[in-house]
Amino acid sequence: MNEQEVLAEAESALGLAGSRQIARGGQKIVYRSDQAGNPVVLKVGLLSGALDPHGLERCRREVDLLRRLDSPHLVRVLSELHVIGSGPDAVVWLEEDLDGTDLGTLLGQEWPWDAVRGLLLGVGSGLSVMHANGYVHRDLSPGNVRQTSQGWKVMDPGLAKHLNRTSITGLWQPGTPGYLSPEHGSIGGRVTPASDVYCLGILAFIALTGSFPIEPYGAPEEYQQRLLLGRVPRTASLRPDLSANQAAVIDRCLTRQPARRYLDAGEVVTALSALEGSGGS
Amino acid sequence: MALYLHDGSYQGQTSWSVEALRAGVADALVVSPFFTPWLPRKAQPNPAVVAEKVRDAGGEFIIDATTHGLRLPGVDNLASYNTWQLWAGARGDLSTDDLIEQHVERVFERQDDVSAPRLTPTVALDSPIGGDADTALAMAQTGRRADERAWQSLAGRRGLWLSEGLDDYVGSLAQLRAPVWFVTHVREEGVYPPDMTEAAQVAALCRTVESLSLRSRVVLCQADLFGLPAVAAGADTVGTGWHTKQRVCSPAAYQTNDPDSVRRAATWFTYQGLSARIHKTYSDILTDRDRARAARLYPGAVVATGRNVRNHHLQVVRDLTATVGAHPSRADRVAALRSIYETAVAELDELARPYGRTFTQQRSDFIDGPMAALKMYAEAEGIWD
Repeated sequence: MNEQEVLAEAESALGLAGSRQIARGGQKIVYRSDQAGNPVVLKVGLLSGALDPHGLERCRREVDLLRRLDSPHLVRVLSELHVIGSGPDAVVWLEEDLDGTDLGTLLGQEWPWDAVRGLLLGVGSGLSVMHANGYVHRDLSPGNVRQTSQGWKVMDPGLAKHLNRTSITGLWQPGTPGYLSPEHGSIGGRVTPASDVYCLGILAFIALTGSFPIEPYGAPEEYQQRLLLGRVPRTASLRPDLSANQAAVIDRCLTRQPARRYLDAGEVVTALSALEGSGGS
Repeated sequence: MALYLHDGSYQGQTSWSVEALRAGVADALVVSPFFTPWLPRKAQPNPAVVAEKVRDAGGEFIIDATTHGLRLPGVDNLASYNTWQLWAGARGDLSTDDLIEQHVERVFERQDDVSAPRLTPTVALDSPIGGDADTALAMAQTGRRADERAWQSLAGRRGLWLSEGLDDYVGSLAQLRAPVWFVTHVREEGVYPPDMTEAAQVAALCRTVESLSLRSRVVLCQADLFGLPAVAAGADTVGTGWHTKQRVCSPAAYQTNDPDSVRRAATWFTYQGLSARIHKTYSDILTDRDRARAARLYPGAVVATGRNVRNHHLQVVRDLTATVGAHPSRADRVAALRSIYETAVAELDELARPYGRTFTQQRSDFIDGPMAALKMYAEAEGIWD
């Protein structure tokens, strides 16, 4: 079954019309579509010929996860998972159509603290719901975070791992270069909610400074070594205008040892709230 | 800051422990199934009796199931252990989630029976990756599910401390948010003083203690004077005793052919100013020929009665622990311990000149190794000035 046939069957199964591709990455294709006059996002996970034998299970988890979680900072899933073809060839599901802009297009210049604080609170709130339910996103990157008219939204926890389930990725940890925690980069590294905290710290660090805390350039193994052994610059060294407490929040997120970070996103949100309560200094 | 006594297999152990608790030189007794039978056996009291005596003496009574000892190579000293019935399946079998759960349940039941804190058992790890590491984490998570205030334990052999993945593993343990961690450095050899030539092991242990102590109390088990670097890193309690198996966790501690008995007749005096012990022969020479120095290095009279020697050693470990731990910042703790070590080095070097190489050996055994580990840890943390 080719991609067009998969799309046709998905549209038929879900009552969609006018689907047009808006993004594509790896084994996933994203369409904007129309369901009874309402805009929706159709997500297609291709399975036939896929390199990843766990694709079906992974997609099931994504949809299952998102349908359980309720947060204004997590993208809403509107349908169950539908399996296309007997192979099966693909899985499809619907998500809410988000307005706004991906974080990736907003980075590049130094944001003021209040804007970074808003990012941390919004994304942190979404992640905290995942963490409280035993899930880790594992692939938090600018492409998976969107600023909408309703605030920041976390998307695509397709690689999320339920902490109480057997890992389907074995020793390998997913993620996007530049947005990996040190434990993403180590063999057998145990990814926990504190790993998402590190990735949240990366987003905030880039927003504040315009640069990566650990540069991802060069050969993958060199990046891995930097992740494991490199030192993250102190936030205050690049943004001396921040208060010591503001910089300390970012630095703590980016601590090499996961045990020394905030252990989950809820703790980041609490720390930021306390900062506000103390006048932000 | 506190000092815990570990269990041992010597007659009179309970009396000595109670005596130390009454004297105020120790704070708790940590009982192990290897040494204290659940059911009365020969002249040995059971945990209920020991607990009552310990509490009467003002101490805390703790049971460490010591599952990490059971699975060490060559362990065969099981006569007492077997009376505890801690296993639903074969002894030591943790191959399924059910078996793990049943073992943790039984350990908690025993602890509940004598109103001891719930301390989750663990297995000794040689790596943070693989089956044993997964089992240890599953045991810890089982303990937390049963009781989120349960204490937790981590026991590591050389490979764990030297592994690149140690920090990641500790990160997964920290997620448990345990109020107390019992951390044990499992040595290959049951000798005291322990081999401290590989500074990287202890430096990694210190790094781990710092990470865990940010949210929890950390007890460094079976460590004696060699727990001081961990106190600098954030531990608030050191575990010790009078014999090697109380001070050093190793396979030999749980074997019937424990060689410790060969050495126990020797009398050693622990000199606080040296942060080391000295054999009676040399202690006598020192007190005869250099009385003022001896008095400075050994507070109180050097009296070779059993009780005095036993309690004096505990007092020294406790005082040094308190001196290092009195400082709120790790940098200041490290500086305090460094000062203790540097003072000891100066004294030992001076003593070596007139009295020979035994003092050089004591420096090597008691100071140089821990100092190198402290330096390695503190430099990596940026707190070594």
